[in-house]
Amino acid sequence: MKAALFSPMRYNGPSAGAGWPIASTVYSAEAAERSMQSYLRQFKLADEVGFDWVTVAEHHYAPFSLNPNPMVTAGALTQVVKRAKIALLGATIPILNPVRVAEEFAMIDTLSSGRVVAGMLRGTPNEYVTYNINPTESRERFEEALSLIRMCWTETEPFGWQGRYYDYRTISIWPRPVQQPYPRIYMSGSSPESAEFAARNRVSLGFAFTNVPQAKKSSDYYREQAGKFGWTPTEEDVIYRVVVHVADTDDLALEQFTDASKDAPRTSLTMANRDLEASVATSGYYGRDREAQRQRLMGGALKERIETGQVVLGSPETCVKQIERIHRDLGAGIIDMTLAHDLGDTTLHAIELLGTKVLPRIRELH
Amino acid sequence: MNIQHKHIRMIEDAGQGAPVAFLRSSEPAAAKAIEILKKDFRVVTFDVGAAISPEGEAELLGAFARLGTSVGIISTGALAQQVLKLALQHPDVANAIVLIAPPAIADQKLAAELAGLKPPVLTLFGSKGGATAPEARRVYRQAIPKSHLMFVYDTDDGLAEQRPEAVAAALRDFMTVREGFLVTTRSAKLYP
Repeated sequence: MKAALFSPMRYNGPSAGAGWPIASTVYSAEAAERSMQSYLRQFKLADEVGFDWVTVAEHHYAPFSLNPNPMVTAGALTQVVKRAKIALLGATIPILNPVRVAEEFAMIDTLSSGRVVAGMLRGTPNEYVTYNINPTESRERFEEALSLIRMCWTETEPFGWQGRYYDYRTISIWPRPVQQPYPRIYMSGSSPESAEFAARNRVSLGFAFTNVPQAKKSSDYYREQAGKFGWTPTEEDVIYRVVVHVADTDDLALEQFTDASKDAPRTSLTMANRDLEASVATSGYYGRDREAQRQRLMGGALKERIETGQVVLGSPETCVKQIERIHRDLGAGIIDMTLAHDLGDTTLHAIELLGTKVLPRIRELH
Repeated sequence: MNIQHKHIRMIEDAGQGAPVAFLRSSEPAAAKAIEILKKDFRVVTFDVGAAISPEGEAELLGAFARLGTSVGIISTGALAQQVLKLALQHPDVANAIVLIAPPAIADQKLAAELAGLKPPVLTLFGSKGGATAPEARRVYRQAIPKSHLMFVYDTDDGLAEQRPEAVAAALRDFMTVREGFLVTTRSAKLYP
């Protein structure tokens, strides 16, 4: 099993209120700069201690994440992370210009000598408000954007595109991806529609903001659908993202995590604005499995979150056991470990513990 | 125009505007896209059979002459290479050519001669692929000086039937301003 280190790149400074979007009235540029430097240090350390990937993702308009454009962050990471793959999980392609996305991924792949992992997501429901895109069209836009991005990467002659949502008269991207024909593509696979699309188009799947039983159900469906299209996903075709905190002892890990969580939002970014989420839900954004999709985004008690594989918490030994269980139950080949809180030196120590005491053990899992 | 031909068959002469000749084989094709195109062009549809005979070519040239000094030509599938040969032999007949899902150019002599083709050419293919391999479709762009490759999303070789509005829009823009179609004139302004 491979390991990735993900950080939402939370802003560590004064901010006003909860919800989404968040006003920047008391925003501190200095705190934001300090936060970003801290995350670059964490990713650098993760690379040094043996993580296979470092992961960034796109989110907007809230201190939950200082990463509205993960391409920019990934560009910076190419100069700091020297060995690990740089995964963008991902770019929210239905709200972006797909040609620009193709160009930027190719730039990062070139800057990193072929180490980019191309996550293409529909994003959380609130992201549709960000650039005023109709969430009803999210899935169709996603599918067309992905098709166009692949064409940008593979067609060597200048070409035009007559789409449903995108039209271009001539496209010819420079630079082109180092990885041929293009970097590995992951998409979110929690809904049946996504699993079907991924299976049909031979795209790898990632699971986040979910739990192991739900992810297993989706993963099994993905594998079943892939079989219908004549292929078998490998373990590496499935990523599972989970919140992780490790300390020298179980008690210390629990104390540090509980303290840090006191002031953190109780809900996911999606549920930070319930009215907005409800409006998006009625648009058809979630698909035919709507209620199950919404349910997985609700928070829960810590004990329950550990039991269902939403949180990995404890000493290195305890964390290994919890990850072994996730691997056994889900069969994911990559675990994307989320650092939910930036605790300074404590977090750096946690990354070292993961690298020295957890990763060598879980690497043996197949 | 209502003229009796022996080797080609005029199916329809409809619409208003600059003249466009749509050449198809006996199998009906691209009907919905052509129907939309008639809003902006005078479209004359010819059934030329499986191939254009020398006699049929003479009849076509006569028909084109009656339409104007030059015409836009649209063809589907296997007729593509004959249309290109016609345009090479009669450089002033066509002012623009659109080839819908053309097959690979098997004739190497023709491929070499295409460097001298005068009118601009737009080749349309389905984004989901079709009978023409990616390398083969690129030959059109590499061999023809003023050539443009365009994919119609979510279609295969039946693109004109599958997404007629999208195909008609591309045809309209290319036939109207030819290579100027690269530059959009569509305003993005929302409110004054």
